Amino acid sequence: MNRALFRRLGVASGGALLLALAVPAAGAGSLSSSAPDGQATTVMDGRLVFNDYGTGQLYTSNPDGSALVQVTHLRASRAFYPEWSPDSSRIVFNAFPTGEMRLYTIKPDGTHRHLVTAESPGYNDWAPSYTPDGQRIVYARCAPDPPGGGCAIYSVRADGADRRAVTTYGHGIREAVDFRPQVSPDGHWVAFSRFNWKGIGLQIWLVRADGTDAHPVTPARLRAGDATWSTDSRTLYFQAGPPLGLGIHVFKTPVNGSHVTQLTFTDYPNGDFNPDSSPSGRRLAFISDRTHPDLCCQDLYTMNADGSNQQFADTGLSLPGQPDWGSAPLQNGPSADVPQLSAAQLQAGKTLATRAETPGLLLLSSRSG
Amino acid sequence: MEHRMHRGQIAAASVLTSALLAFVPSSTASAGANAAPLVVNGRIAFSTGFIQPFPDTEGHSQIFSVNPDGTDLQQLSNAPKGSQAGDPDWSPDGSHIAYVSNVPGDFSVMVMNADGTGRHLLIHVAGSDFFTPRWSPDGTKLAVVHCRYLNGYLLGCDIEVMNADGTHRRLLVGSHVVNQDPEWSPDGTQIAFDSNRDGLVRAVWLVNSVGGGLRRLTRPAIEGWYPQWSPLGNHILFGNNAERPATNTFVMNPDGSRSRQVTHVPSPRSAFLATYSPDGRHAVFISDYLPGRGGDLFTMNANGTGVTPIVLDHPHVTFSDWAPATSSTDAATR
Repeated sequence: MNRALFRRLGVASGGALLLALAVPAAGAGSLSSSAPDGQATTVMDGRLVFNDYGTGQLYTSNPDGSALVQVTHLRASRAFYPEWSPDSSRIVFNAFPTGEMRLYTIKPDGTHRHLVTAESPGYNDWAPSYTPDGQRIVYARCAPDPPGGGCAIYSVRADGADRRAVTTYGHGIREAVDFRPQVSPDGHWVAFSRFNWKGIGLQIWLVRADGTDAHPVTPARLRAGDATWSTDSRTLYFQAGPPLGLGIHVFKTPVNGSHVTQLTFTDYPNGDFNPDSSPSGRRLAFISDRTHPDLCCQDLYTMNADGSNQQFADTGLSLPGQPDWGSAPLQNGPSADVPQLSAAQLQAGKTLATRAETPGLLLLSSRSG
Repeated sequence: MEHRMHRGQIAAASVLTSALLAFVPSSTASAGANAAPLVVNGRIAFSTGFIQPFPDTEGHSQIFSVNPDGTDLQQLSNAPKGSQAGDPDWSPDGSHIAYVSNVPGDFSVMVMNADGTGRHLLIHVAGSDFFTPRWSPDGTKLAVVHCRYLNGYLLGCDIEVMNADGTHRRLLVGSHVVNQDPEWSPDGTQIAFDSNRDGLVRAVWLVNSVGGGLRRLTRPAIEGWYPQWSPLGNHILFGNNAERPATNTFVMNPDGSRSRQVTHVPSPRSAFLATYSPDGRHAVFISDYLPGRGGDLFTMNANGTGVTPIVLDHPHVTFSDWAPATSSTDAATR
């Protein structure tokens, strides 16, 4: 059914609509393992940053989930899509304390939160990540809806100046939602998820950093999104699966899309999603609800880059999501207190986690949730 | 309950729809190309709320019938406040209407007589929903959409076929996607439907009614949905832009070839959910073309000319179906 049409006709969509559109929230990105000049550097697999859909806050932890630290303490908003800066001194994320989604940076200890860039009313900025040299931030810039609400990939200097378009807003059947950009470690390419372009539900695309040579990597049938790069910029890890948000798995493909390898095999309707490559390239972080047959909750996991040695990371949180693996030193010490959520809060959080197929839906449900 | 259309509204709307006609190209097929001889058109049934795999459960939908000229509007269902009855489909002989209602708790398939009497439950499965019941041409079977859930999460919507008495339900098209809007071919051998399978936003597909032979008819970019066979089986009406703000009605051959536009409502307004009349010369459809309104019910010639509003005083008119004339529905005025 034409949902947009019926909304406009004044026939409200039921709650089942949003649930039905559910796809687990988009994943995290990779940090560069090379200096901007291409010289190899020694990288460590340090701490992870992620959001939690139950509390709405950002957290960091060691890869095994220990030494949990709460980064944000937002009251009138929720935080999404955290990403480390290449030197792990800051975290960029998006939140909506003023009603519209904006980009912020914050120190890992929760201090020095800054708005990245001013934005025009009606626009919403999502899913930021740093370029490998840390000089710029790429993100999805979503136009007002109505009239269209399409999103394009933009970049802005880390100090908020010099906004540039990487992809353009399409019109008609070319109108699309370009989302979740990730710059390759060599800095040459941007991988992003493209929703609803010319009737194709979701595909991973590549575009050169200067905006040229945009092309799809994955076949339409795969319904692939949330790409993250290998450290050598030759492989993309991503999630793919049915359009209902359940039964999604982690895959990998060479950047030319020549073949696809499935890395996780959790049974439907549970799934594995939000992959992110570690700085060393040897491990992946991801999210899974594999131990929750009632779909109530989800957990942080890590595995080798070939899918082996999958390990549960016990954060104590009920709904961690969107991990990004940085190089900040591992920590000792106790974990932060984790609030016990009511069944209703869990339900709202998990629903929020699975409404992330389109930025508009997530924004809508974030505000109401 | 019975009430009639406001004639003043009809007059005003006619002026506006003359503008709509200006968008109809002269090159479209001539009216009557799909005509089924010796068939007389009867009444049109429609519902007033959004009932599909993602229903508007906060609204209140009822089923009505009306003459094709907009006269003699009658309410057929009587769903209590807070519940729904909708998506009617006439039996081939026009004596019964299959529809869905959530009065039993979940959306279930119901059947009633053409005048709204004799309502009874045909099939109900706790924890799942049925939508879009569609009679086979010989009246012995129904195709339905069956949606299954887990803790509120949609697991998928399948096309199923069952006997007209609700027995022997079997899966026709499944998998973890949303398959919907089934419609039998006039010879009963095929069922057209739309789906988001294969990674597409939406497309019109065809499957043999006994299973197998699954093939896609519309290309991805058109986002085809809500296919409706012509009575002779030589054309299929469908909508474009399933997930975009503006949709129009198109027609194609049953093999997907020769797709062309039938309605030409300018964006962002729409003309959609078109269904052929039993004689194939006309179609009934929904449009928000008239300013300041929700969906209204219109008829047109099969080639898109002769657009006429017939129901304007019900907000949010949605699904409709056109019956053959019978002793109980012999109101053929077109």
